[in-house]
Parts: sequence; structure tokens; C-alpha cells
Amino acid sequence: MTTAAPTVEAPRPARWPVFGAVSLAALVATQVFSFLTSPPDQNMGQLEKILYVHVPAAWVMFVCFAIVLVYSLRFLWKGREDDDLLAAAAAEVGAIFNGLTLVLGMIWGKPAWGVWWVWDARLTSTLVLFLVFVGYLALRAFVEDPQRRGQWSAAVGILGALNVPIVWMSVTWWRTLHQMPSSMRSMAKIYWVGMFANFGAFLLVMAYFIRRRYDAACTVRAAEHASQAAALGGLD
Amino acid sequence: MEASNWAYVTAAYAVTWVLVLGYMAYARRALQRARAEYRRVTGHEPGEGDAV
Repeated sequence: MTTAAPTVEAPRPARWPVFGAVSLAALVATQVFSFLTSPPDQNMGQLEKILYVHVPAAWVMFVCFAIVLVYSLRFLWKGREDDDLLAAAAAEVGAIFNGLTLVLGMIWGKPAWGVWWVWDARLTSTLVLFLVFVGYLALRAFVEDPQRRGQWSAAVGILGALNVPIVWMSVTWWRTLHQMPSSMRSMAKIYWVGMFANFGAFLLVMAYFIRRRYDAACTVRAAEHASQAAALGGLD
Repeated sequence: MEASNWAYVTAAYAVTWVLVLGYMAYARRALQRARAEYRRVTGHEPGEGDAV
């Protein structure tokens, strides 16, 4: 299926720290904007402000797992190790945003529903998604052979990403406690503007995180390759 | 009720920023460690040739 193609090289230090600073500045700006422009919701009051971080974190989590799906399939198809490393970087960042989504949902749920957690379809399927990608990362930590690690984690990553539509549709398929997806018809425009602005800032932060983790993984692999080559007498 | 809601809002944003800044610091340190290891093994800076 795949052969371990030597496709990894240590990336040159670039201007990503600047991009990281811009991402943080964008996050501050969009949060200040949404705080200043959105009035308290008729039903939720000030709690609606939690949605400016909870919902974008969830959307960014979906984007990360879509990247895992694409690059896992690409790895299985082409066998390029850099595709595997990019999928792994996206999986780790996706798991971070997945955990954040769950915690923010709990913080919202306590005042809104009266409980920190309930085994609602959306919450449960999101927790399952989180556990799948924690398992993905644990698998990568335990398998030493890069080719087998790539193949096995690609399989888990694809299965995990296929869980995303279930999470998305869970509130429609099983009408439990979590509210239905918000739409432009159900929300005032000012809330949508704030939500999409924050989503844009979260996307920048996500891109920065994935790039930094990918760079680190490529550098580690390049050092391992160089070390193996030196041990075999490939270097002077 | 309103005051207690602000406590939850504050907690949500605090968690978000702790996670974002914490993970950013972790990613930065991990990359620095990787580059140091690369320099130790190869004797030159990352990105200076020898694709493997």
C-alpha cells in the first residue's frame, strides 16, 4: 500500500512567529469587537458571549479533522511521510480545540441547563470524537516504526473524521437537550458577524498551531534520518 | 443572576486564553528542542540543504 518515501526535510525558520502574533492580535480584536457590539440576548443574557468562543472552537475542530481526513487519505495513497506528519499535527490541534469545545460547553451548560454535563447526543458524540483523537495521539506515541505508525494512525484518523458528520447532525437526528444549529434566520445579524469574525481569528490561530507542530515533527524526523544515516556511515 | 453569569463568561474566556497561550508556548518550546537536536546531529541549521 505505502512505502516509506524519504520526503521530510527540516524546515528553515520562517516568519511564523510574526503570523502567530498577528493571529493573537486578531483574536483579541474580534473578541473585543463582539463584546462591544453584541447586546445581551433576550433569553441567555450575557451568556451569549460564551458562544463567540464555544462555536468557533467547534467549527475549527471540524476543520482540523477535515485536514486529518484529507492528509491521511493522501498518505495512504502516495506514502509521503510529510502527509502523515501534517495529519498528525492537525489531529493534535483538533484534539485541543475539541477539548476546549467540551469545556466551554460545560461552562455554558451549568447556568443555562443547571448541570455541567448531561449525556445528550451532541455532548456524547463530541466526547467520543475527542476520545478517538486522544487514542490517535496515544497510538502514535506507542508505535515506533514510522510506516506502520502512519498507516495505523491514518486508519484511526479517517474513522475519527467520519464521526464528524454524526456530531454535526446529532442535534437533528436525536432531539435531546442541546439546541439546534443556529442559522441566520434564528439569530440577529450582529451575533452572526461576531461569531464569524471570531471564527476567522480562530482559523488563523489554528493555522499557526498546525504549522508549528508540523515544523517540529519534520525537524525531529529529519534529525532521526540524519542520525540513522550517520550510524550507517552515510555521513562523513 | 446577571452577576453570576458574568462569572461563567469570565471563566470561559480565561480557559480559552490559558489554552491558546499555553499551547502556543508548548509548540514553541517543542520546535526549539527539535531544532537544537537537529543542529546537534547534523552540525548545521535546519533548512540548510540535505533533504532526507
